[in-house]
Amino acid sequence: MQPMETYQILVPIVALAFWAYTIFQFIKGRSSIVELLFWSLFWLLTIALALFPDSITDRLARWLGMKSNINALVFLALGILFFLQFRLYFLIKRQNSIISELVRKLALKEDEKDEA
Amino acid sequence: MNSPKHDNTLIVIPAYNEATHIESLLKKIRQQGFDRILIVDDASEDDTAAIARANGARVIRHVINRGPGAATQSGIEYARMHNYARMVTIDADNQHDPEDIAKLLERLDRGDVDLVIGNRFMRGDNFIPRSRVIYNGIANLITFLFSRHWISDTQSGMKALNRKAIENTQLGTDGFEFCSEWVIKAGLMHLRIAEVPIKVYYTEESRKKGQGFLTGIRTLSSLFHQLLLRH
Repeated sequence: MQPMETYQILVPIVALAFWAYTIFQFIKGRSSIVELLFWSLFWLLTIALALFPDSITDRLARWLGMKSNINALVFLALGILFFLQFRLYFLIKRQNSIISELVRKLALKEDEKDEA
Repeated sequence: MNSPKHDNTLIVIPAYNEATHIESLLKKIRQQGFDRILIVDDASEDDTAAIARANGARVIRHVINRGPGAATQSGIEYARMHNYARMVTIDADNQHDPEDIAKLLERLDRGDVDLVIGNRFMRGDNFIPRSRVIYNGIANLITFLFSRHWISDTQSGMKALNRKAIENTQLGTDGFEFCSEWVIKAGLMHLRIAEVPIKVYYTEESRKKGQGFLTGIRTLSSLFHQLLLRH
């Protein structure tokens, strides 16, 4: 068995900390079961990738039909980043629209109070 | 007082930091016989709200700045809540001539349209900066692609609405992109649109406040979000 590289120790520790934080958020009722499952899968995959980088990325490259495992990994990482960016974009848009609605309701309510 | 025929007409003025213009604008609107005037103060940092109140306008105030689209929607909701039969929006920076309000209402009262847009390009004597002409052309094209309705001044802030349009208009965008969204949604709701020529006066100040290239980018992104992804 090959000796472990430093990142193979650091990445799982950091990922485990984030996973624990995800579980804590779920227990506190600040995230949904879907979010818990998504992030649990994400952190477990990160740990697996750090522990078995070659075997996983080689399999991924074969599955995606790419010659290099580095290309496959970059492709997958970009896909995940775009997905998260897209999700964030919608979340911000929604928050903005909720804030405007709230500001509008407040303004109209204040006016009703003045009128009464 | 409002002349009796204007009793059911609300003039809505979305305003942000317009203390220097609001008094003269309110006077000019009154001279045209309109007394029901609503200022939607979009969290101005100057005395816009106080001056407007002192000059007899009704003022509703956003606690934080949300943009001209959000302020216009607040005006629409006010008109809806208070059962106004007609509503006219006009810019707060004195670029429009309140004399044109009557022209818009006259067109609306013919009964064959629900939304009348004041068109700045239908008059030959308006001086419109070239940048605005180009921007407006691009915005018209974008609006046409989404709505399949050709309107030659989609970005005009002067509009008149009848009760049907007041009831059905729900703007989702907060910034200047609301102008395009309004035209597109009017089409989706089968509101009938007409345009009438209006005067416009551009000052250095109003040119700075208006729309630019970045607004165009925002318009595209917001329209894409509003009209394609949310429906």
